[in-house]
Amino acid sequence: MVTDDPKLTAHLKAPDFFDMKKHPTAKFVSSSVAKEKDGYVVKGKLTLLGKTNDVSFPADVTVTGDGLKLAAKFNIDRTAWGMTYGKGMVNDEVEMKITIATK
Amino acid sequence: MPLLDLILDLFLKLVLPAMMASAVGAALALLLLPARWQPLGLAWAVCLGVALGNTPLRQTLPFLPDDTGWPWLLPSLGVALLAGGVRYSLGLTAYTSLLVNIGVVLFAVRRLYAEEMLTFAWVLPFVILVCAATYVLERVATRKPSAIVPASWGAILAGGAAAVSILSHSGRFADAATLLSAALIGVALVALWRPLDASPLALATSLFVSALMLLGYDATSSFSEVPRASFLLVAGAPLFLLITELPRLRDLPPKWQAAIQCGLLALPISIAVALAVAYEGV
Repeated sequence: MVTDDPKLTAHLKAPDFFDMKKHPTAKFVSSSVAKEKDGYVVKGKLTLLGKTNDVSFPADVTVTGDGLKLAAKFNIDRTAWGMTYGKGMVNDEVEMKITIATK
Repeated sequence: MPLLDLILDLFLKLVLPAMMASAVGAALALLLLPARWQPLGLAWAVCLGVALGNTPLRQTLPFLPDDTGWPWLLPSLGVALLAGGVRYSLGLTAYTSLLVNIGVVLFAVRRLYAEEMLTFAWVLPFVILVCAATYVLERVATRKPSAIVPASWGAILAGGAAAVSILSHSGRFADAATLLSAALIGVALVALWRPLDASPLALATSLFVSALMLLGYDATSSFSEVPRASFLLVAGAPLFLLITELPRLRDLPPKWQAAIQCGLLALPISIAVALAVAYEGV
């Protein structure tokens, strides 16, 4: 985990947020990538802080000769994973930006 | 959020409710309960203060933990407070009290420690540290009941544990230290009006400080520059009060004794914070 500010990086690693000593990994396991009327929708399970919740989000999927590219931007409520510290000072809604390239 | 707003938020949502609730609870315990049950009332007052200070507005610590580790800080504190109150209300012997203390610390260790830390090398020093610190705090509290005693314990938490925690990037642990500190200051306010023996709160204070420092070090040492010595100095700060047991110091007037106690606590805490600042920066 890296941010522009080393002190912010350290704070995010602390038990206030990602508690990285206890939960060194986060995991997303997709269950489906389906084409719908307005584009693709990815569904799956996101595990943070040892808690797993269902998430689904719209994504742009492009298939080229080199492989597949997936880009998505969506919000999650961090408190759903028990990341409750700083409520009222730090937004509950967190914007996620994902870019995946496969070959 | 600007620093001033953060401090105001902490004061209004955490410090004020914890301090006022424990002060009201302690005053009621002294006014309404017979002398025998006042220690239990005092422990209940601090529980009340901590519970009301731990408002859903800040969500510092969970009341009902769903995982081992730091989420068990609050239940462990509650058990230590209850055990301290019961011990003094029932007037248990020193030997039985020691066994109760060890039992409470082992309960906390089982819940607070990660599996890999449940080894003799980690558990034994912690049990010895908490029991020794409890013994020293109890000796100081019973010798001369005054407002200085709970206030100085609150200062260990607010000035030492909270400062080292925040410097090692753990706002949650700093809030937790401030929470018990505010509740102890509430008791100190009542002690200004009617001197009280804070001994029933000694076990909870030493356990909470030591647990916060151990968990704080374990959780942040991989990315924080705050040295191990800072955490150890704060956890061991109560042991410095053992010096007040020296005959010449014990015979000094109460005001001098209070000044020496404050100085002896300020010394390790100042070194701990100075080391943390030197290594980590502000």
